[in-house]
Amino acid sequence: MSDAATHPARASVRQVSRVAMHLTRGCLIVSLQVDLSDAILVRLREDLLERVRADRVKEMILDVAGLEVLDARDFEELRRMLRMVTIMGARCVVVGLRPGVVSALVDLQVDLTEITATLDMDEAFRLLERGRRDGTR
Amino acid sequence: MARDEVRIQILVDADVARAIVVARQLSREAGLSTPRSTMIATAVSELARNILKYARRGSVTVRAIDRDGRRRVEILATDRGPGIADIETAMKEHFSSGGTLGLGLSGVERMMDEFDIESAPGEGTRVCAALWL
Repeated sequence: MSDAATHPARASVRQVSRVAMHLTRGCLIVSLQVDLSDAILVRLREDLLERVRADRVKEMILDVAGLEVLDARDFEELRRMLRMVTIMGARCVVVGLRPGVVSALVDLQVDLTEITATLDMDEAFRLLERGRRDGTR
Repeated sequence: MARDEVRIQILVDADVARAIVVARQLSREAGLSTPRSTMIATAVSELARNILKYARRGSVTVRAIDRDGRRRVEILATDRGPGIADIETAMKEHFSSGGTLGLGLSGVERMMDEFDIESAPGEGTRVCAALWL
């Protein structure tokens, strides 16, 4: 929760259910800056899918660096959401999973097979660019 | 002054969120590393959600205590819900690839250095889990 306060407000950022979304270089960047609740997740999913449709988003980066705790149920929700975005034609990369969060997810044996993740934004952009060049989805 | 023990009644969804925040803070103040504080907070999340889902109400206590000459952060999750008839089977449940969520107890056990569960049908469940400093 304290993380939300330390993130400087960015211009042209659309605040939706305390989740920041903005389009950069054709890539939709979604930053989760507060720990999740069911209400936030439901709103996020609706807003996100609508945004992907309206802006014909082909690439999405989900920035979870602001999340200090991600339990199995929240992760399943995020995974379902990413799958929906993928079905709508966008490639997704998860950025900023913290060490403790990763350890917990592996211990909880959640399904990580569909998840493409990088440590930071630069790496995510490089990965997406490589995918664009190779023409892979 | 850092608190050594916090007990949170789990009655509604917001209590789970509160328990997570409190657990993380207490763990850090007790001197656990950030990743291990996250493990405590995640375990609290799983256990508190189980309480809501299966017992409707209960409590989660997080405390930093000395045991056997070493300091540790302990989670105590108790409820007077329906209890678990077959603990062994419940412990084997995990998050399958299909995404069906089990109790998540085996996950909590893997996350923690110590894990103990007592449960009897009709009497409730008591889980004690801990990470050493």
